[in-house]
Amino acid sequence: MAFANGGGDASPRNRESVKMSEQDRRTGTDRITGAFFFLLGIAIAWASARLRLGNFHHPGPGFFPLLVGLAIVLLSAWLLVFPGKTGSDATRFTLKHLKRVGAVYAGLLVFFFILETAGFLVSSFLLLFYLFYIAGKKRVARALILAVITTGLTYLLFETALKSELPKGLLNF
Amino acid sequence: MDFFQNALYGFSIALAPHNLLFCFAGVLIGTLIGVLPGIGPVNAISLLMPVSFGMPPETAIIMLAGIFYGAQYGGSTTSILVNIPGEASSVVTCIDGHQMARQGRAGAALGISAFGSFIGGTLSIIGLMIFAPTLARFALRFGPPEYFALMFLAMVILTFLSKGSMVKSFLSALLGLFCGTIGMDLVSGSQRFTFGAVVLFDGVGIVPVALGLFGVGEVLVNMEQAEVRSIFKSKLKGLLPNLHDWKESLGAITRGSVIGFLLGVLPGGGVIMSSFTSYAVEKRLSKHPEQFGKGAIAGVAGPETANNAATGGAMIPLLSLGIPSNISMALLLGVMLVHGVRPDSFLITQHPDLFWGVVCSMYAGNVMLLLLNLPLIGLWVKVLKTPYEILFPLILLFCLIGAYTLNSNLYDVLIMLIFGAMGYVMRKIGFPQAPLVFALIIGPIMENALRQSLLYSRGSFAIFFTRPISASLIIFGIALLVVPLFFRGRNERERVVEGFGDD
Repeated sequence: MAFANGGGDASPRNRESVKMSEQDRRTGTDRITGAFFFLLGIAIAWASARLRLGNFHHPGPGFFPLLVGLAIVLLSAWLLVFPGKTGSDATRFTLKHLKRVGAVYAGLLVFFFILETAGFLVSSFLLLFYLFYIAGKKRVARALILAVITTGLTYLLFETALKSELPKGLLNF
Repeated sequence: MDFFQNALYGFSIALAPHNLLFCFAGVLIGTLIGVLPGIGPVNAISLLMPVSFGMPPETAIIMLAGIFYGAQYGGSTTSILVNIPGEASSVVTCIDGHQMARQGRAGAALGISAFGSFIGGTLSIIGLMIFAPTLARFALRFGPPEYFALMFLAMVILTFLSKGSMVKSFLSALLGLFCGTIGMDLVSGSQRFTFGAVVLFDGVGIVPVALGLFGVGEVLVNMEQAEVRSIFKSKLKGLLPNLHDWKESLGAITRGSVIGFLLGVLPGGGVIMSSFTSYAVEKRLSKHPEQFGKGAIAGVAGPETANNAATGGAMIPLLSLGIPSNISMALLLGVMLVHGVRPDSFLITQHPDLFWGVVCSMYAGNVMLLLLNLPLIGLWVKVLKTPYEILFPLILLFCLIGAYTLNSNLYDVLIMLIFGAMGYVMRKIGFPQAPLVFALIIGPIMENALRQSLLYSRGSFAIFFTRPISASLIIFGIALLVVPLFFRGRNERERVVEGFGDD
């Protein structure tokens, strides 16, 4: 498990102001989370009510989800009223981090979209090359070689050893 | 007693060649991910779940369980050598273990870790063999109300012991309960919350969720850190602790075994809590407490024994009641359900091959692990040098393929990606993920139990309180929820849960 450090600038003279904004951040995040769950709870409760609720003798499909939805509404209301009260591991969303994470996630999304048309080998190779490239300080040759090796090995592992059904896509032979 | 007959039967299954092979694969992978920080047994089990579906159920569980207890061996290696815990349960091992390494005693630390782990693991399996059938027999008296109450209590304990706000943990669990209702309701036949999406007809699916939260999500979070690891450069002389070391450690190992076993049974307790508790206990009981933090071997022996002893204890609620005590167990429960095995108090009698086969394979696994972790220690040190930048693309690819090959359905990949993003956000805002997965898996079972109870009681909720076992379980659960609200108790709970190692 990673021990993600939120990256604090906690030098002594900043500590007071950092502490203040830590609390504000927690409160702010909790408020947003609380509001989100509050709305979600209401949506779930409403959607459940549209399913047959049944009665206490014969609970219908909407019975249990309704209870869940109502509980979510109650707890999120609590969170809205008492935000930032308890400790949490909440860390900051910084732009630098979001850029890196976003770049990786974008790669995954592209893979999702091209997998069935381009096929396993092409898609995997492209994804691996992309990831090795952006993570490995943009060294093209190294990324290329790694991508070739790993795609090959993964293909062997899944197609032959595990006999999975992987899409052939472009290279349909 | 037919204890020995069962044991023999179990060994006949465990020692079958293909089960031995997959046991070895499991413990090998377990050690590997135990050694590597940034990936743990939950991630590895999630990644290998799709693979396990092609095997008979007992083989699948043998392998995945091997990952679970194997990781508790590997975690100590990095803690001792590099002062970076490979697993959360090895955090305390860093304290004295790394100091021992600096004093040139890395070998003894690694050795006592391995032996302690072996003893703790083996003793806990014996405990498992004795207590699980007993507990299962007791649970034969359980009806739907008792099961509902037990699962309710398990969820409460899990949220109680989760880091961070209890409110958030509970919200996470409720979200999981909701996700568990998506799909076709087996009782009424109607679709719930699917909005016409065919991929959701069978439910969200535990595998895409697990791969998303613990595979993709974990990698995304790790993307934020640059990793710098300097390996302790020193020759490892002699991996065997000397007689003096053994004398100092014997008490710690014995106590660690008991502590670990008992705490492993608690939902949310388990390997992490056992290791911290053992360290605190050893420090309190030691004749030289000032040595702790400077290389006291008992500070390594105790926690490492405890976290392995917890693995046997952790399997008891799953195999005898069908209640998972931690996320890895919840994933194993998911695997069993996919294989059509319903873990409840009848598991031991209806699927003796699975129960006794898995239990006996754990003995074999622990022996293999002892061999893997002593002579092969040099190999693991080399593995430690694999940079994460090479590792994570592979992990991501594994997740993507794993999700796709489940049903050759591209939309399972989409579900995984959605939960991957959710996992990232949840980690960032301090929302625990464990309750969500836990609730996702046991939610449908809980709902079923609730419905059956109400059917039986003709709509009365009083049934939960008029039956003694069910009543005591529910009242205890409510007490755990409510008491922290009123006290300084709230801060006390946090101090206990988050302040491990403050001693």
